[in-house]
Amino acid sequence: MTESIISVRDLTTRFFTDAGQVNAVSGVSFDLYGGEVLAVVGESGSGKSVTGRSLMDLIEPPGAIVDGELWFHSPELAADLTDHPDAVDGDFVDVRAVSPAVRRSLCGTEFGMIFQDPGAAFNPSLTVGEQIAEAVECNARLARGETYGLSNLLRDVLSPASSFVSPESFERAVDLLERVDIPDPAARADEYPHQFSGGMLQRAMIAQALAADPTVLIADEPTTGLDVTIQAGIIELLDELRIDTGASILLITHNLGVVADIADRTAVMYAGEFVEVGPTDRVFDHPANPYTEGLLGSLPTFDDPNAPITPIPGNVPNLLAHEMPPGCSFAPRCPAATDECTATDPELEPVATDSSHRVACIHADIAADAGSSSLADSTLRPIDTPAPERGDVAYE
Amino acid sequence: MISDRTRTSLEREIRSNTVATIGVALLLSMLLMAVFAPVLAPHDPTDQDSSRNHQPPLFFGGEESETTRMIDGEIRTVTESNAGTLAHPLGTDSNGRDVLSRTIYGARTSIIVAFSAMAVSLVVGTTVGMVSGYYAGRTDSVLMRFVDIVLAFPALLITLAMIGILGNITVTVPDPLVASGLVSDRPTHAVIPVTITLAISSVVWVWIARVARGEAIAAKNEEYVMAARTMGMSNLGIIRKHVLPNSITPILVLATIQVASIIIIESSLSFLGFSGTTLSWGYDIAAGRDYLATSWWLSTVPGLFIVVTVVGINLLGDLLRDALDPGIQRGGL
Amino acid sequence: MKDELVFLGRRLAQGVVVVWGVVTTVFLFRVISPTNPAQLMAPDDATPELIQQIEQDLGLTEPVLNQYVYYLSGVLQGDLGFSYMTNTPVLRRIMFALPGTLELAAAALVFAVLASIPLGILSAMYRGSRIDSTSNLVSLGGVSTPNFWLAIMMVLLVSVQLGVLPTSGRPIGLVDALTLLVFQADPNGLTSWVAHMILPTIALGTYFMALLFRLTRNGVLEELGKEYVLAARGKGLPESLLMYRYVLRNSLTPVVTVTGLQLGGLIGGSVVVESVFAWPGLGTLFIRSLNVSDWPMMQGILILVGAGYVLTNITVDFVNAKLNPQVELA
Repeated sequence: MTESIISVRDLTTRFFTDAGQVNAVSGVSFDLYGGEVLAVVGESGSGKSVTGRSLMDLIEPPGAIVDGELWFHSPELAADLTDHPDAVDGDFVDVRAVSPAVRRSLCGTEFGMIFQDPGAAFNPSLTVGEQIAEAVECNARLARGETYGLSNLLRDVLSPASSFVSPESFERAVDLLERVDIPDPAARADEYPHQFSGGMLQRAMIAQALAADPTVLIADEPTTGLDVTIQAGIIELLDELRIDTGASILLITHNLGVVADIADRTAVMYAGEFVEVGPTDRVFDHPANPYTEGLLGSLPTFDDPNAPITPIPGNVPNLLAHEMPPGCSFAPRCPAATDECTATDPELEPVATDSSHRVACIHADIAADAGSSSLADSTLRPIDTPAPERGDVAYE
Repeated sequence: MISDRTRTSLEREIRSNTVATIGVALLLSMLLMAVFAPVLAPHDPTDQDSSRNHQPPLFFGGEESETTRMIDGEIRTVTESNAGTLAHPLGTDSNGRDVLSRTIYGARTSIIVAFSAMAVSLVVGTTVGMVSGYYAGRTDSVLMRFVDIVLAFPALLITLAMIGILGNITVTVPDPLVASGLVSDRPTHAVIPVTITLAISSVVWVWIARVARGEAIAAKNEEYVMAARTMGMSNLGIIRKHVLPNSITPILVLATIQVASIIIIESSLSFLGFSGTTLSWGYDIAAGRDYLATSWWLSTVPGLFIVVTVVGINLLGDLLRDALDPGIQRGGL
Repeated sequence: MKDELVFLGRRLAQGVVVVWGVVTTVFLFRVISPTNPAQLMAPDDATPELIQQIEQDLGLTEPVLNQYVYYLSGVLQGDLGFSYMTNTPVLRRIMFALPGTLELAAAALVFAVLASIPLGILSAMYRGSRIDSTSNLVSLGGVSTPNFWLAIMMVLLVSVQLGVLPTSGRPIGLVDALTLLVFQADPNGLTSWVAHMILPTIALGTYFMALLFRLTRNGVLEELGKEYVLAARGKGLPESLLMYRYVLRNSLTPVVTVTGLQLGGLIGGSVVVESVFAWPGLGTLFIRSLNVSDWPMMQGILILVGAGYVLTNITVDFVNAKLNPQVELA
């Protein structure tokens, strides 16, 4: 059914703080397929949010993406960029190799982002409708090939009659609010963020992310700040949108319940690296990495509510470069750790029983012919192992 | 009063922040200058000698000119060079007094006024703020309306009005360094300008009171204060044991920063002629204005000392804010 | 609209209480001051009887409470009393000096705002760059330099050394200068006005410029770190519009507040600056009155400045509530 929309290779994002260098994301590689939901799970501080923001090019100083390629499937853009051979490979464009202007034009049009805390991600001094309409307007202007110069700014700032947002864009914003099931959208559009409840504001945020019909939605902990009952509604909405719009969703969360509900595939992140990735049911039912096992073991289950919960001993390592444990970063907390674990840093390799399931652990049951197809070894965008069929995902 | 954590973060800040260290060094040297003025000043700052007036600072001047002078009862024409000399490295004023010595003594006046005005303001302001914030209700409304009234006047106008009410009160105290016989040929007494100190305090306590009140309100709602109250601790006891110690850091940070304002107000008042002492930076700047065209250094030198002192305080203020209040963004240099 | 009226009404009521306090305080100043105005007004060889007569004429023999009621009702009717020295109405004298101070304070404010805000934004946007470190250094100097010394140094450099720009006096007011320009097509009045304004404006405005620069820079830096700025970037908003609508507007609240609060400071600062430039304004008038213990004059100036400050603050609160919809107008 599908092929990759995004192929991330060796993404490395670091923060250069007063306390030292923080390796937030260390050489992450993965593919996002058309129309799928890929969940990235991990504890706080595992680097999952930074991964999402790196894709949106929203890393601010003192942070920086120091390495990696971010191939995006866009035949049109690839055709436009024939004079940049380095940035083009077939229908794919390396977003990191193109000019900042092109990169910016992708954000908001092809990529939409849903932030963790909707209360913080809306400007308190503008109405919600206006902010969504801005996103619509930006996209419309881009589509018309218009640029926004100083004269536009002066007109928008000085003339009370002139506004950046056109009436049509505002109408579309109201439609979007309706689309995400906000009751009485025309009236709510004129309200300010602080007049919204958390759940409603998260819906408004999704509406804003949808403003340009994005191909990829990056949802960074979309349910974390919300009540459980409201969480279910948001997840339902995301699932519905994925089916309606065909957008792929990168769902960043630490809530495994949410993952089981909606994700086709799940990637487990630990200390800035992907330690396991595969179809959600495979990862949940047959975890190949002791960390994933530990993560799942720390959850209460419905099957046996009285079963003891086993927390993972210890804490997520500090991501400061000079304080990272040698070898496998999970080794100090791992029940199965051996001396070998502290010697080598394992890479993602296919599990013997299922090549769509990969794990980074030297003790896992790795397929014999692993090495060559290892994702991390690829220098150029390889076509990844086939995506799983929808049929076998857990939520169905 | 200062916790270990506070001390460690201060130490770290001082180590990591060179600019702030410079500020602290500037301030310390000003303090030393004020304390040891009689030892450090090369001359008596009040010693007049018209034969060496208007001498420029070292490395300046050098033109020769003929003047008539009375020497040994005779009027003679002599050729003089007005080059700066090492004896008066910052030159001399219209009465031949040593500018460097006057400036060193001027630091004394500024620092004495700054410290005593801040001490008075801290005591009054903290007390009012604590009472107002802790007891709230009617006490608070009345005190805060009074604060509003004081704030409605520009600080300088109200200090001037206070000067009009208080007149010119000064206290003359013997200079301990001179009295102990350590140095001679220096003024034996220091003049403390009480009027200016009180006038400035009449404004500054309000600034302190406002912050103290805010801190008291915040601390009052902490659970440990509620716990102390349920245990039957008296209100005054709670303020002394819990509210004050938890409010004191921001109050002291504000106090440090406001010392800069006090020094500027003090020099303004001296400049306008209300100092009560002639050994002050503002007074010398005003005196030098009459000779701006010929002796530029007279107004320039004391002003530079004010700027250096205030820069030092401001840098220290930034440092304290950075180290003790992570809520405030790191600003400044 | 109703909310706004209620808000204004409440703030005005509070303001009236403070202004009443201001008038009362100022009345008390005169009462506790050691000056005996009768002594001041009487000729040197006056007999005790004459002095007593003058005291009676001034109402100083009345009980203090009666004097207070008399003074308060006078102020309410716009009567600030008579000068001890010239025996002319205080209000008329103040109105004569007011334009000089207002023009100076307004010019200093405009100078401070126009110079500080763009520089603050640039500094924050290019944090750590040369423009940032230079501006920071200048602003540190600006907040650390007494305005009268800066004034004298400018006189020394600009007028004594370079021989340009006048250094004292205010030969013509703005209104007269404009009248001259409009009705007699004579630009000389305006040129002279501008020339005399330049040095005092810079001397008075520099401190506030430095202060507002720091506030703007810190405010913009804080806003730049907000998630909604990232979100706006994420949706592709043009950077210039983003800076205006998302960063500047929200970081302006403290700038507006301080600008309002510092108007009092500008008036206070003008006392010293006026004295350097022999500028005929409220500050010069206040100092002159202080030197001769002319309390009615000082009282009048204090009341006027205090009431002006209270009114400005109400305006600032209102503007801030408008800028920031989260502040409830109630």
